Amino acid sequence: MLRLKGGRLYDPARAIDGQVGDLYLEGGRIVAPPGPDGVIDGEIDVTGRVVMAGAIDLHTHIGGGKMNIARMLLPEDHRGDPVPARDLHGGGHLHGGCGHAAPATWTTGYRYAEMGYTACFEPAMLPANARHAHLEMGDIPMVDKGAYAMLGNDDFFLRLLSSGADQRLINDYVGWTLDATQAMAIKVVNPGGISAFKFNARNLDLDEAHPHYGVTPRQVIQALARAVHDLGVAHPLHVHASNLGIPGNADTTLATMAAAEGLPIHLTHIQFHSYGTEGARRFSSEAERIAAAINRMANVSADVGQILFGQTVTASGDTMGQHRNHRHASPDKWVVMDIECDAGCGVVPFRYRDKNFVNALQWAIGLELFLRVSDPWRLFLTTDHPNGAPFTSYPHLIRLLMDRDFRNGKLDEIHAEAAAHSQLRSLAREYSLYEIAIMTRAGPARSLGLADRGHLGPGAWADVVVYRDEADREAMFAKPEYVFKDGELIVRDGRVVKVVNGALHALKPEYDKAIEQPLREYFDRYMTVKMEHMKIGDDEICACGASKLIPHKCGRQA
Amino acid sequence: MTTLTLREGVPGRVDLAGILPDTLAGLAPAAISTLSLEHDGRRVALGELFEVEGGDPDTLLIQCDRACLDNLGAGLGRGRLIVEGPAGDGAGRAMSGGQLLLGGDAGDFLASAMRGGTIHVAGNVGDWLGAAPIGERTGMAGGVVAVAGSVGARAGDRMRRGLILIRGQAGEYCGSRLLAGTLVVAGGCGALAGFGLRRGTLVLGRPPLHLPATFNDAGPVELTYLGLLGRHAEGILPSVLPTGTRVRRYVGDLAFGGKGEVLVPA
Ligand SMILES: [Zn+2]
Repeated sequence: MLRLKGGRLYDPARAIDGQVGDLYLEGGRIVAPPGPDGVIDGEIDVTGRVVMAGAIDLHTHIGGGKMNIARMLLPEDHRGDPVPARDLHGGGHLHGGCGHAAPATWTTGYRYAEMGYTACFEPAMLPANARHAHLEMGDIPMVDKGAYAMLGNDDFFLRLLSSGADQRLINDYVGWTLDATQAMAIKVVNPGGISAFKFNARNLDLDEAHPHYGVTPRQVIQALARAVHDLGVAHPLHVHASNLGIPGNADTTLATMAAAEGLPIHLTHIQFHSYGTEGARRFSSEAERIAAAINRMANVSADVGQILFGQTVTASGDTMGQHRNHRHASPDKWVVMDIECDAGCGVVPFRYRDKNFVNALQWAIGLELFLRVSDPWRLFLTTDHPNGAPFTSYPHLIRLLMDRDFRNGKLDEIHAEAAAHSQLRSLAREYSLYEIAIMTRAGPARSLGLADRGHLGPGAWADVVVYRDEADREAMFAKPEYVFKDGELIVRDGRVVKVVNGALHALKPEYDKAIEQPLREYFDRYMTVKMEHMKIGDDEICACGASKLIPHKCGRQA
Repeated sequence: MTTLTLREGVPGRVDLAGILPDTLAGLAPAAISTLSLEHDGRRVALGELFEVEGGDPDTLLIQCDRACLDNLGAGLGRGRLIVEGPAGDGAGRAMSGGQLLLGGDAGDFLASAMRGGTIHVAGNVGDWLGAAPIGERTGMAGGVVAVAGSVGARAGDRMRRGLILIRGQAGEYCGSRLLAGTLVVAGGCGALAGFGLRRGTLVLGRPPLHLPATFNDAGPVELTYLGLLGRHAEGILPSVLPTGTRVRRYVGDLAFGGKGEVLVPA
């Protein structure tokens, strides 16, 4: 048994806010303090250190096909950021890698662990691409993984919806998709819009009928949110709303929240959906209205998708949005493609500039959202890696949230007109360590239904991070002193010391398997593979590289 | 002269990017030995791979017996780098000035994205001479490359300025997608020379076996600038240009704007 002695614990799941205490690790788990007879064979004095559970990123594009396309599109991203291989003292080695915005799989895992992250969720796994996504995630070491299956633009679902199929049939299809693709949640991207793009629509509003199927994005959201709820999936329907990036889209975003009609709904990268049309440039912040709505509606959660300045690449299933953005590509090359009629994919490299009015205001809007949403349990820290910025900028983002002087200093550097337009300077809030622990640990774990992750209570898996309490929060969060994964020390002073594989979280929903009959016929008639070949068996998960499969039961039954 | 001699039996590949006269200037041999290099993807001390001998820092001599040193002279801006032995890939990449003298053969992507300076190669060169680095859109944009031997495929691909002189032969697709600049091949070239040529000039010492169908025969012409070019080239790589100023001119590639020209002896 290992004792971490005397640290200041930040464990929001148990309402522990910086109290000093000892933590005991045994058999990969956190255990209750042993009695006088307990054998403690290791002890690390962490007096004065900040101790949190391993961080969880619930929206980061680390697999699922788009990253490979980004890698192929941007060899310069790799050339410019090489990572040499390294031998480990305890045996084994770290693979060499490369990449700033679209790093190699190994490099992705090492970098996440070196910041104290122990789980990452890929939010955009196309069912047709699921096997690739699992292979790619399996290749990412150090952290546990999971993926959200994308539905809502696929022909089978849109046919069901437009034919007025019974909700139970839709539930079965959603359940089957979760099961067949080993997913952890359901995501919908530009509901119906990706499909409409293929019918030459370049826009699809929430209540606009799809040019072919006649259904509206609102109907898509409602049917999927209902299915996710009825199946008892812990994470709400994960929604990339319509009209991403378009000035004035805040109205759509608010209407999308309302469209859930009280059912749980998660709005992702909400920064990109909080824009107004005021001012001479017809681009303004609607962060206040969006944040007020989130504060008011307990069924709504969101992640921010903060942008940070510099070179990155945007990678999205939203072909409609990415086609619209391609003229901003920097460097000037881009990919927009269909994938198996299932959804789509668009990869557009992008450089956010602090002296550009729009980019500067996007930066301020994201921060405004962070500071205006009062409940950190329902707001998660993301940059929508790599869309807003690579995940390696999280420590910088945490400092922006925790340090008002630092934030206002940066505000002085951005496009002056954008700074003047934003109310950011007037927002005095500074995040506490407790709130950071909520939005990066306890919150995501609760939202995903991970009962034994994201907290430090007895019985939890021992994913534990120890930070030095430095005034410079960026330096502090960039380089934890210790990171434990399932009780093993994997990072020391911000450097990997042991390589582990990480497991895969997947849901095991209950649904009527009779759905396989129409599905099998559909696949035979229209698709390029057989239905049976789409399905990913439990035994494939470890073959894909994960250390193990962690199955999760669904909570509610309809 | 500072000398780096590759030790015997060093396996794998070594990335020499950044090892330049300028970066070694003012360093004693012992300090040079502690510089770190990438060897097969791992960082190692230069001294583990090379014997170092100090001297005048303006000239750096690198001695090696096999083509395992990549990015020799990459980023060179000043001074002289002499290589005795074969060079690996990427030599002279993004060079902006100075002289790179390669005593043996060179690998792929020689002078890729070069902007200035001079490169002389005594031997043969691999593919993609003066081309854009993979993923980028412009190749060589200045400077002079003189090759005494032959070169592989795609020489001058996406080149936009500067001069390349080749005494031997060029492989297929020489001058492909060339934007501007001058590529001279004395010894003939493979199929599809000038494919995608936008502007710029290909001077071929021997008529190609065939050109892409999208080139127009504009007949024999008298081009006095060839005399000027010849005299200029004579000082760099003697007798590589055809004598005289009368050539047959083909205009193309018409599928790509067609403002380039391929000149062959009339
Ligand atoms: Zn995303």
